[in-house]
Amino acid sequence: MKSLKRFILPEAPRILVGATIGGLSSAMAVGLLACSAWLISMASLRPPIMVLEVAIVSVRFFGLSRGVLRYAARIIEHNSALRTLTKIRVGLYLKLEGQLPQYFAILRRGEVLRRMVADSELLMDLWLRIGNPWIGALVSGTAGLGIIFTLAPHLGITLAAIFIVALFLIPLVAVGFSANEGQRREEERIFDAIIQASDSVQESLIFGYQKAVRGEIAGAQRLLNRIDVKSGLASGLAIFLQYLATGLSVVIAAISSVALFHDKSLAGVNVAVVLLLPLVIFDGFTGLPAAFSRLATILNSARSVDALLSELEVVEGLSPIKEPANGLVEFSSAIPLLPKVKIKPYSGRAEIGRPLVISGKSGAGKSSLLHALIGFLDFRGTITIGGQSAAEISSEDRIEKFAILLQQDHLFATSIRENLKIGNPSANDEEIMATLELVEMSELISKVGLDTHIGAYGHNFSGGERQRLKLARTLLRNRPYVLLDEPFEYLDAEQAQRIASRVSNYCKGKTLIVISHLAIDLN
Amino acid sequence: MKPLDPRLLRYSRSSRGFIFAEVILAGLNALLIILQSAAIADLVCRIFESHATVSQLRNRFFLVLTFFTLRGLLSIAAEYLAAYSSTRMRNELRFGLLDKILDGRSRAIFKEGPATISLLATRGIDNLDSYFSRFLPQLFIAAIVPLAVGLTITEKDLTSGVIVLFTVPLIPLFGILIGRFTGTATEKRWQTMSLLSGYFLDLLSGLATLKVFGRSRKQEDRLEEVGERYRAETMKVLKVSFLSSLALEVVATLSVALIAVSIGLRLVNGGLSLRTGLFILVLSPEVYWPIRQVALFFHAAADGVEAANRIFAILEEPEIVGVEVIETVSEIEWDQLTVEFPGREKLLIPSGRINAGQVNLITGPSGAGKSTFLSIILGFNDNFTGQVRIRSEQNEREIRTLAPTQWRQQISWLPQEVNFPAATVREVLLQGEASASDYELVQQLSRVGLVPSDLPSGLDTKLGTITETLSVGQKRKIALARALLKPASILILDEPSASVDDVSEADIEQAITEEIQRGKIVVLVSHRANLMSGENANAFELRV
Repeated sequence: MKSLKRFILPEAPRILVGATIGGLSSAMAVGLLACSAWLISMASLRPPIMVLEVAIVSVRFFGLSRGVLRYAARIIEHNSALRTLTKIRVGLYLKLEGQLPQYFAILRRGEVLRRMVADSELLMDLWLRIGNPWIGALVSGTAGLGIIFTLAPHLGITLAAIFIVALFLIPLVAVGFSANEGQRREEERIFDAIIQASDSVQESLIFGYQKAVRGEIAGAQRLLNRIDVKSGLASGLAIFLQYLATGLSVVIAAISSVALFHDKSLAGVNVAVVLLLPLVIFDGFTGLPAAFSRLATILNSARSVDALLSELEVVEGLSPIKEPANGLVEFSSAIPLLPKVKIKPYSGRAEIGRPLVISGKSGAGKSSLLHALIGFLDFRGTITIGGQSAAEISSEDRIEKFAILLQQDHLFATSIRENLKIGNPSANDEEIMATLELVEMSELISKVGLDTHIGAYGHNFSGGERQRLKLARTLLRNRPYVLLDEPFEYLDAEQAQRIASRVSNYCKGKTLIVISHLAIDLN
Repeated sequence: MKPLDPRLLRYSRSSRGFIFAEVILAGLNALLIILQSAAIADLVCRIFESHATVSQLRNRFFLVLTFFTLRGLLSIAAEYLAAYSSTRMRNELRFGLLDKILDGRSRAIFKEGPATISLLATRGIDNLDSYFSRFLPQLFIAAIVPLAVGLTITEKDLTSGVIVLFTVPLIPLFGILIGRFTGTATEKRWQTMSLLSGYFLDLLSGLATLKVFGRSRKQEDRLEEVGERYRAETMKVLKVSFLSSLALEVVATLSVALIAVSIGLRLVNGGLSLRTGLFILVLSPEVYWPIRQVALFFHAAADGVEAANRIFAILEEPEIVGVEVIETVSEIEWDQLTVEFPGREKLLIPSGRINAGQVNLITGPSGAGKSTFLSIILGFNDNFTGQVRIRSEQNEREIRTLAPTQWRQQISWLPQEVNFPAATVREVLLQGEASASDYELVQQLSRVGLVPSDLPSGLDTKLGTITETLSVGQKRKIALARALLKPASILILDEPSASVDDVSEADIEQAITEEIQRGKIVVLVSHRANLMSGENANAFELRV
């Protein structure tokens, strides 16, 4: 958990302050009970009312301050938890940002990303539900035991021993008897199965394999049920221990107070105090068993976030691109290197005014060639950009000179304007509309407006419309090299050709490379 | 959702037994709390007032210990029951939802989209755990324990009983008042929380895009800034909700303090015995504690409740009801169809007809409704006006009167976006025709221009996994081969040549021609005018 510590440790002082204040709040409950017990015992001796005044005021003070302290503790705890969450998110983002896009493709699949987001949120439970309540139990318990110790030292020590055993045994039992991390991972399996099932539900209905899908989910679920029930039993066992410790402490306190009261080393009015205090000392444990029985799940999340933060290595940059470039991009026997897949060598050249169309069989490695060109993939053979070997230029610098349309490009859940401005942050509405005109989207967009929300994953627009929005975004970027991977997907042949001619015209002074399985005329 | 939604009883059979058991457990719990408090108060009095010796008290020590042990055992039962029932109830809801969708009679998957459904069936249902295993049991404890304890207190000491009677209602009253005041704020909190998660998710999904636009580094500051803003906003809302629990806590503890002081003062006057005083002192927090806990757990369960609402909405949705059966379809004919989309203009599909004997070519620019039309024919979308008539030699049926499962057996389909389950190429192909031999599978693949040796492990190549390295075109060819394998009378092909090279395109064209000759109704959606253009085609054009 080294990498995670980096994010949590800076908040540690604040977390501790929050936990301590939370503990003091519980200690107020201890004070309240001790004071009330003394007050009632004393009152039964019918003393002058003056004697009780202090206790009466204290009882009210403890009653009031408990809530106030609890309020302060929760504010501090949540503040630091949320702050850490933001930091962890930024950390995860930075780490991933430094990765090769092959990794992004993996992340886009299934649930990996969503799980990552959920995992980082679950981390807050580590202190909000586990760490801080445990410290709180320790603080309030110490307060209660302190009072007992001043009244009856030996009894105080005995009860402290029971308390300490409980403090460690209760979490141990809750953790030990509940499901372990490996079993918890089953949860991910069933989630994957369900996501697969809903993603492909239409196909499963047509091809009639939905029963098999259901059976698989049901199988995984049965296993998960046993794990859940086991965890419930574990937390029940831990609560049992809490009651046992409380009961034992009350009885031990009773037995020893009989003797202490007889030899007058314990005042009669304090018998109730000593006997009742164990009731609140162990109150601090409430909620801990259930929280600790979920520790495996939380640790699982912590570990996967930690692994993400540490395992991925940031790719270092190489030498910068040389200016001026003459616009020539040349592949000679270039072979992108993909695991397990053989790709045939490719040769071809593009320069200003002479666009290159890369076509070929599906699976032939067209997109991989593009990835190799911009440094997302390693390759054998040679690729030159402006006469300079691509391998010598850092990926970042290459990207800086390119306007790129990827096959797996993403439209963000924001307005059309914001999405297009990713292409060029300083573009005004006229420039945006002009680019949309190129891809035959200006009519629709001027009707619905640039402020139209794109909808999560672009579902408000059809496949072809989304494709054209992405294309417009790339064109708006306005770079000397333009790289388009299947830009005319989901368009009919006529429209594809119309847009292709316009794009080609628009890129007259640029180097244009288009990957397309369609026969497209760029001249 | 109400704290205890009647829909829960309807959709989860095991919830009835659970609720019954919870009521019993809460009752036993109340009884033990009262007995235990009485035993402890008695113990103090015997030591302090009667100067009893250890041997005189031996039985009472055991009694106290027994009560604690019994409460502990009760907790094991309660926790086990809560976990067991929560699991059962979540299962019932999860499979209720999944079955409804996998049954093929639900419209939800088309209306909500697969992502929403899978989110509900996974995290949505899991979030219900705290509702089932924490909130619901506490709800019964809060309904029973304060009542039993309050009555006991009143019976022993009317004054304390009156204090309880006047202060206990303050807690729900405050709760409602503050709840009304913060209700919108709490809602906003869940919204901001999920917005931030959504923003983070969206950002990560588009990382590759941001990277090629050289914008990925710039997002870092923005992420931090957005995170900080959400933190501040969330804290604002949290402060209000913590303030409400502060109010409840103060009411509870001050009430206990009030009772303690009043007992003390009456002890001085001799109006009360020490035994009763101590008994009530130990007992009084038990009146307030469960009610406060309920409020606390309800907040924690809010996420799950939100999910439950949406799941119930899907479960309550009427199903596609058609029962009619039709075989060997010879013709499909439709009137002008109108489909409405929220936020966009309605879609008009002009009337038309498709039949066997020639290729039925559906063309049109993007956004003209090609995919929507297919979803209607496939029986996934019945939310349209106009009629679609399916004809066979014997009879004619409107598509919405057909039993969806039987209807879909007549159809084979290549979707625009292929989604394979985690399976091998062989297993996926066998979904088309379960009895096909390896030889037949290889033959089908070669019909669409795919040689098994092009795949990393031939027919054993795994699909639908993270490490899968097949190109989009290869996956489409596998899906096409599967569609060709299925012995169905209608073959719907959505962009069969998308992402596919020209050589394979000729193969595919040949395969389609063969299927037509076999008498199948072939529906082809394509942007490419040249695909099958040499054939005698029944062309149907959609316009924006």
